[in-house]
Amino acid sequence: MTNNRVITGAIAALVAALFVLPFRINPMWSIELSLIGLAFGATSPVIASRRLYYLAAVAPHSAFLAASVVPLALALSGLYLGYGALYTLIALVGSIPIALSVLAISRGSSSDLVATLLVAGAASVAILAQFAANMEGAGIPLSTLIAGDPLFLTPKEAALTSIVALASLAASISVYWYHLYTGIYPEGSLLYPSKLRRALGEAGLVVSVAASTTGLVLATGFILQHALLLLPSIIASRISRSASEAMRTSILVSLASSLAGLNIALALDLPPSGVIALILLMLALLASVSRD
Amino acid sequence: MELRIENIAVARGGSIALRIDGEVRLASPGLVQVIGPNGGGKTTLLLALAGLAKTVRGRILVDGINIASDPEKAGRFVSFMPQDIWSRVPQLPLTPIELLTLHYKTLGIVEGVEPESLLESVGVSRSAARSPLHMLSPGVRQRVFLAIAVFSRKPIVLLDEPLSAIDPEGRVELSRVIAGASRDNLILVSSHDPELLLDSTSTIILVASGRLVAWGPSGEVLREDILERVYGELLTAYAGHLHITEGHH
Repeated sequence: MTNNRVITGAIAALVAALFVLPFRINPMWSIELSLIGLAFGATSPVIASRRLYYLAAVAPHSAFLAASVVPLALALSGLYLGYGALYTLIALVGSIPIALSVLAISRGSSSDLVATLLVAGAASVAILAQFAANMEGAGIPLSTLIAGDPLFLTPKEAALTSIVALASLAASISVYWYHLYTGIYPEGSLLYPSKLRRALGEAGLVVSVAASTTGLVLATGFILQHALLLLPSIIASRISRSASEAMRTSILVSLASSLAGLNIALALDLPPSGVIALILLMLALLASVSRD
Repeated sequence: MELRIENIAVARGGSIALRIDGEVRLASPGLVQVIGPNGGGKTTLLLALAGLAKTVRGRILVDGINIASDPEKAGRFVSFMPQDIWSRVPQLPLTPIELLTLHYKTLGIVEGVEPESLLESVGVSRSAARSPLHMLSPGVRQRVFLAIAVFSRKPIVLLDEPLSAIDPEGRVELSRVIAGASRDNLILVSSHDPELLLDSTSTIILVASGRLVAWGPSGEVLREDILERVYGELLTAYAGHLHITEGHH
């Protein structure tokens, strides 16, 4: 435990340093990447608490689908929406497959089947939408959807991203213990909480996952989201000694990785999302080795 | 408090898994053992009493309130320890203390909760209580879930094979915990080993092939003619006692 505290303290100091360095170039970058790290760092243990790993496949693909289809549909219909409305519409449309998958699985459908159908459906429709958008000269560039553009957000876009990240963070923290309980003792979860409490727990899961994926897809890109949803909790579960410590560790690991990725990306002129995913992967490997 | 089972048919997996024709009345406090061969309907009965299996016919009444197929209503009266719950290992390092605290919060109980001493009373050491569940042996995990079921402050406690992963010495120790709890609550235990709790047992329910075979005081149910109907040649008489081979007693 003492070792863990020393490690946690060292990571916290590192996080502070990693925050300050890019802050001097552009404060918005540090704030954005910090909030993204916090949001995914809290969402990841919620997914792990019930082994809802299918969501780590379904949610980023839903985000990719919504961010491909919504701008195309608007362009075809001749509607022009400001960034805020577009952003909100993408988040709402992308939330639908996530909510449907949670509902289907809570009613007994196989998570493998649901994930397979939704991922295949979302990927094929998104690619067709991308092709059509290219023909129309409309839509969000594919490179943005894949790799994200966290360094090119306008202040207005950054403000929206921040709000969404904070909403995801709040939802994740508020439903974490409910999902831990449901994960280990689903019978108790049916017997004791009221229907309203259960509904709020499930809705919180959808908000947590949908906000961090569909809401942040333009900042993170949908590829990085797979790593951010899975790896922080895997790392935390290997080095923590309790569930409360696992949540704190996951948030800290995600935050540190996001800021370290930003620093390295700025220093080496690389896309932050790729660097962040690589850092998380290395930490996961290190955590596995240290545990074994 | 009285638990009454009236003419029920319980469905699991799309077909009827258990029928109880007539009425079974169980009074609290007391210890009820649910026995019978594998696949006979023991688990289905306990799931039905917890409202977790669909009762397609009949009623399950607790003091006149029908809890059949209604887990939320059943949860007001019932605590439930599922079979093989020891095999469930969370992905995250949840500790027994965290789990018990979380359980009490879910029940809405905040006063007078001492998870550590409750866990100690079922043989979970202080260091084990603070260790992640996945690092504990199946037997210790089973004790944790037994504590959750027995100390939930519910008048009816349903335990589905609660001693299955416990070593012989631990079975005797935990049988005493269960017997002790049955002085204040109505406890229903499904088991393949009724001998351990026989002295404290007020009622035996014998189910086989998805039907109620007999119920009543142990002396009335554990009779050679009744057991022979259920277990056939697996039943042997030895030194004045009846024994059932292949793990059934």
